[in-house]
Amino acid sequence: MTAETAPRAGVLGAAWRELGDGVAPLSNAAGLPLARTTKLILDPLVVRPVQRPHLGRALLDPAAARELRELLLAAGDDLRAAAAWYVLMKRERRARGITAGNAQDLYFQRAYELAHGHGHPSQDDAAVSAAVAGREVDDVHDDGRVTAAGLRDYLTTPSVADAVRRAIDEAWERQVRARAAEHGTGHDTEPGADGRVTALLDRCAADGRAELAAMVAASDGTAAGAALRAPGAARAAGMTELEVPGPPEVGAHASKSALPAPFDRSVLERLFGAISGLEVDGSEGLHDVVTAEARRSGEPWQLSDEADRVVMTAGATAGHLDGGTDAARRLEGRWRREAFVRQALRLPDGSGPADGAREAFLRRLWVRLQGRELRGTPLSSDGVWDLLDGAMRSVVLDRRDRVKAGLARTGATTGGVA
Amino acid sequence: MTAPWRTAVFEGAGATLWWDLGTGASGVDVWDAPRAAGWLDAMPREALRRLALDAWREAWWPASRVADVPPLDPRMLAARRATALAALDGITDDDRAVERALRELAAHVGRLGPLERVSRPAGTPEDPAVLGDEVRELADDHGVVLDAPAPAPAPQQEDYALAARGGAADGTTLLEGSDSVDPGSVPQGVVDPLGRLAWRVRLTMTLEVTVPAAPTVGAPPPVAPVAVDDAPDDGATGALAVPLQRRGDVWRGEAAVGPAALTRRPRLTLRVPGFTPVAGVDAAQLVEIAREVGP
Repeated sequence: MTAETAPRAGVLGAAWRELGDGVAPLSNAAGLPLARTTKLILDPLVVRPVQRPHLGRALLDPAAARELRELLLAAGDDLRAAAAWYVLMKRERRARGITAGNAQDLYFQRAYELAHGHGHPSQDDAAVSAAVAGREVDDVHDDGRVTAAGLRDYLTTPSVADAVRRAIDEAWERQVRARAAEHGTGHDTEPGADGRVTALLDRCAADGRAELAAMVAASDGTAAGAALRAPGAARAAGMTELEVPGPPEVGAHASKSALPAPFDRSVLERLFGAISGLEVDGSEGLHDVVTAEARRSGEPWQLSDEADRVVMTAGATAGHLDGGTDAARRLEGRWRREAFVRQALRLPDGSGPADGAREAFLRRLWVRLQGRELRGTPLSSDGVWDLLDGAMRSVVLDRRDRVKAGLARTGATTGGVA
Repeated sequence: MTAPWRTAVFEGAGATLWWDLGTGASGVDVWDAPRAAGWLDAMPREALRRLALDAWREAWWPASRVADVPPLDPRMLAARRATALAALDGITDDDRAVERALRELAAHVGRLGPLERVSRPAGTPEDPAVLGDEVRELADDHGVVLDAPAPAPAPQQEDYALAARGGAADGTTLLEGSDSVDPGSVPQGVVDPLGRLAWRVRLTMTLEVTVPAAPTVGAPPPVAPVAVDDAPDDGATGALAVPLQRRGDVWRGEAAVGPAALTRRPRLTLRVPGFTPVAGVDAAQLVEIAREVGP
């Protein structure tokens, strides 16, 4: 941090506090934005670093800091209205006895949309506002939406299963042809790919826009993803149990607790966890989602977006935790802190990052990226580090949870892989 | 940092705060300055310390009959942590921390019954009923189900405690002794940290080991320790391991030993499979800290 730059989180927190009591329902006890206020409202709907990348950096220059504050204050009325709508939606949720899902996850963006469309909920006509909020809650929990069971019924319809099977096979054949064409040109990997990965990993915690763009332009993600088709490569990365991954099954069963490695998952297993959150109506929407997934499975890294493939490529390098880049050192720092915290929480199980953490980390990262592709969330430059760090944090904390639960259940602790 | 077993830790976004409860020292390990800048100066430390203390109590509170330290109700601790974490949302490193705490609470509730049935422990500020309402609302908001079928009432430990103690010196003991318990060698809620690991070699050449169990609220955790002597130098039997079984408030186990046991005093320590011991834990200091920070 230099004298000229200000941390983004600090600027955001200070500006948020200027908004006053009206945003309290979106704030914590210290009057700072809740984690999901930032993640679901401020970043995607107010600040929008995808359109304004200079506002996405961890450290902001004075002009950017001013701009960020002004953006937030200008959105003050919308944010206060969104807070009021959120309170109403929670009240309607309670009145309906709904307890499913995280209310912040489900309602935050909707509350902001209501604020945009209706302004502040009317004080004079509370019944009307309550009815609007109630309709919104009903819509979130709409029984008509496609659920995991609906998806399974769809995919197990013989004619649908046949069509999806064909879509998968076509996608894989297309990749085979594309690869043959590449071999003709004589280079699979653009020269300098290693240097570009290192540059991104060294810079991504602070900014990394230029480095991400350079990797995307050179198709480094595609090249690294294609290299995974070499015998044993995808298995070494933890993405499959097979020597060479094959086209996925359409699938008839899925269980959250028994999911295979990402490349070994059927189309059903790839979609069933996310489907209800996608708000798909009817079989036409389902057809689109399923066809896109079939196509995705044939792509390098089995992801559609080059930026997402670049993140997987960067993660595969950083996950070695070899201290070679800034990102790798930061990820290692998580494990160092975890070793102390495990002892402080009296949960030491002796396992460490060497025990399959890289593979678990890459699997987690893939699931997050695929989830973003399903929801159509674009990747911004700041997102690279947040994704890497978030995936490693979730591996660390899930292991801790498992150690804790293991002690409570059987007395045996396990350091197995996620 | 400091000795982990007497350290209360708050894991914040970009910074870890710690309090050494033995020395009173405290500190901040900033590992991502721009991220920590969002809250580090804006947040009163006391709220963070309270949350950290409850995590310490869950892990290290030295419930003991020997030292007369009553056990804490894990439901109260988990409920307190869940509400504190919700108040600190956006500041903690883990944005699913509230949900995790609620799931732990749900597991305790499933085992011990609803929070509303907790009798208000002496010296605690919260009314379990009030905390229960607060935490239920939180659980509803987070999609976590707290309602659990009421379990069968936990057996009264005192009912069979005496029967399990076994006879006193009955004239068949050839050799006996005891070692202090190392609380760092076992998870929470297993043995009385102030108890002694007692052993005797009987005329039948069996080594009998007993150690007082930790008092717990409701059923104890299903963790069974093994008493081990890592280096018996009789050259024949190798390391000695005596699995212990809990009967009421005593752990007990026995194993056959050779004549060498009569010439060399066993040096017993406790182990739990899969649990890596935490080194250097001072049981008496745990009790001092517990008396200072309270339940």
